Amino acid sequence: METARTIKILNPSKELVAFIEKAQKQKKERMEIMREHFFQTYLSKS
Amino acid sequence: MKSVEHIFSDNGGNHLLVALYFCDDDYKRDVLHIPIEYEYIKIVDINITKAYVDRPIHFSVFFKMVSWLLQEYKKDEETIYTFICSTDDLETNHPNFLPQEFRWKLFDRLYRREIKNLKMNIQDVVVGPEGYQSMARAFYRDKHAPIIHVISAYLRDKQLLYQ
Repeated sequence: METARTIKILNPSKELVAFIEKAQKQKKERMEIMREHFFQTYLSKS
Repeated sequence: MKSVEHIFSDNGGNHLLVALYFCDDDYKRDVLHIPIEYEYIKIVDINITKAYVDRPIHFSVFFKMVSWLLQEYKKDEETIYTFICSTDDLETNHPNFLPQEFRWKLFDRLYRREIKNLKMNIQDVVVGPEGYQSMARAFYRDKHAPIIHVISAYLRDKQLLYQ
């Protein structure tokens, strides 16, 4: 059964904003690592 | 932190890189405030990026990616998958959408196309005012609803405290 619910937090607290910003930063870092890992592996094979 | 990665080639010069990061127990306990009795449940964060960020990518890789994600999800009954939409700049043919909105809509369309007979619930979280929103989604099974309620209540408290 599929259900979809949405929590909307229009006025987040500073703590939540900091949490979101940290999550976004971590996401950016992870994507960078993924690309680095890909190029290291890809370039080493070619 | 454990991770599982996969690469999808578009056979046109670019690749879609997907990584599943498994949150460790400290993160589940200290950040997500998951009760200790539920720590056995794996929280998996989906990360997606193009290998060549500035090059276009053929849309077909997204279908392959979603099929793979659903396959991985089905492998382990004790997982909750999460996806946070990146706010990084993105070139698209839809200039009216913010990057995170475009990613959100794309991911949602792909999900709804593939979901079919799979039993899966969704919890969306949108934080911030219009034009400055951050979006996230959790995919979970019925039996994991209590965990989602706990995390949702924790997030809701963050707004009440501010008000």
